[in-house]
Amino acid sequence: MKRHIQSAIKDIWNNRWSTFLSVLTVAVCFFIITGISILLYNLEIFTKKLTTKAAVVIFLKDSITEEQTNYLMDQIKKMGVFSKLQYISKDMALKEMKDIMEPSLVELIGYNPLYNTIEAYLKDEALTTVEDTVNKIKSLQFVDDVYYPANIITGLKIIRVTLWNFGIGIFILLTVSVLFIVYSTIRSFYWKKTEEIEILKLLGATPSYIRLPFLIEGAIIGLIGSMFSKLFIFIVFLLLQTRHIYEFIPVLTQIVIPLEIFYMLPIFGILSGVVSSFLSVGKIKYQ
Amino acid sequence: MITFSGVYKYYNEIPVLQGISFHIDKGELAFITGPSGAGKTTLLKLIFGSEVADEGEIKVGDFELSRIKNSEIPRLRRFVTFVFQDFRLRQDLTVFDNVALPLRILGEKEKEIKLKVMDVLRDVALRHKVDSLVRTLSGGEQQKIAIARAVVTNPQIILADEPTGNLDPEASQEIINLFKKINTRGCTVLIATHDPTLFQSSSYRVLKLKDGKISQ
Ligand SMILES: Nc1ncnc2c1ncn2[C@@H]1O[C@H](COP(=O)(O)OP(=O)(O)OP(=O)(O)O)[C@@H](O)[C@H]1O
Ligand SMILES: [Mg+2]
Repeated sequence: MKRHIQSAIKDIWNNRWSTFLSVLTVAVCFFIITGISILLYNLEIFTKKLTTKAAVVIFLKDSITEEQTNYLMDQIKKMGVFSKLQYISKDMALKEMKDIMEPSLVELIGYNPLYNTIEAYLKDEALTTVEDTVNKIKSLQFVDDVYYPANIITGLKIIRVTLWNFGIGIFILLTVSVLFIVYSTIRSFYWKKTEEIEILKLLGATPSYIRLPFLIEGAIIGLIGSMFSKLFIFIVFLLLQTRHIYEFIPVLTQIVIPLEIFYMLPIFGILSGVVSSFLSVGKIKYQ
Repeated sequence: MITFSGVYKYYNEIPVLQGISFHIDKGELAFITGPSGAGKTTLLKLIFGSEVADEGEIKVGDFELSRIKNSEIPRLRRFVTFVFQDFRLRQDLTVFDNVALPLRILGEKEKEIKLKVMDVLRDVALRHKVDSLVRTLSGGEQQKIAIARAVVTNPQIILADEPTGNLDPEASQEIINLFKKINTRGCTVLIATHDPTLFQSSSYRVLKLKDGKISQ
């Protein structure tokens, strides 16, 4: 193993300029991939915040008994799309109203005009099927009407789906590019060593013995590429801070960078390096 | 150890070997001879698994070469080694690294490797060249290094293709004596050559290859 690593490092050193170029390209790809991941991650956080605020309000028929209310709540709970249900009786609602309005004004109406309601908070993943859910609830017994913030939710849905599609598209494109870059770099290393490899085959070297140095080279390119992209991210981060860019675009202060990225990135780098060099060397034929 | 039965080999539909059958026992030393282009190298390559017979059966030890899988060839090449006509040495490496290569492929410890390489270099009388680059050696010296690399792993069979091809008679005799020494340790040796002086005065078996057939 030590010998293989030495051989890999020697190869990389002998081809340092082409290696450097591919490492740099890999780094740029990883940088963009990371940027997109951070964007999507924040999009998810944002949607989560919004959905927990966006409750579906279910207005109940006036004639409903307590038993029936409990039964209804059970039914709604069983749909499995809500993270939290809260029953607010019309008396409670009136009390709340008196807190925010002049109580005598409320008294003036002479009776309680409010409804018994259930506030239902959607689970994140249920966001996309909210219309179906609402229609289902509307058809239930004792339900008078259902209100939900349609504009916000459908708007968010569209943005979310578009950004995800876009993000995944670029992610795939760049991952394929990384694979291809490492693939062709390793391929050129391999061609330069055909003579050497022929001799190894004649001396009874197994395919894995022949492949190993190239897999190590691929892993090193992937790893260094991911390190460079981390460096880029760090530089961007510093620039944002020193140039007071936050003051112009305050949204940026809200951005959360998941720390997982910093160890996922090298793993992803090594993995894609190994996979593409494996493909690049291909089958070792002896005959 | 090596058995050919009715072996045919064609290159672009031109027959080179036409129904070859012979058997070589374990521990034998034998010569294959014949004019240039007779198919001596082809025959050795068939035993080494770098060419495949078009017809017939070849058995080498436990290996059935007509049915051998690509993945089994490395194992075959630890059982049978080859001294190539053009040596196939790594010109950019030292004598030591060249002879050590098959042992490193086997994953032996560096300490063991050192002992074995030094031993075999003493056999070929080139110990003093251990740190020289192969490309600085003479043809005869490179020939000996190629032999050293082939024997260092203690294979069951050694195939040698024109091992005296470009040497003077004295150096040639030295090489043949080297093979005899290797053979006395129990290794089966098969030497392809078109130089009859190598075996004329000896009792070793000679397989004569002519027109794609063998006469003994
Ligand atoms: N890879 C190949 N493709 C096509 N023809 C080949 C190939 N290898 C060998 N031949 C032909 O097969 C015949 C036998 O070749 P081979 O090398 O086995 O002869 P040889 O007995 O070793 O000759 P020499 O004494 O000159 O080394 C020759 O006519 C040669 O041209
Ligand atoms: Mg030949």
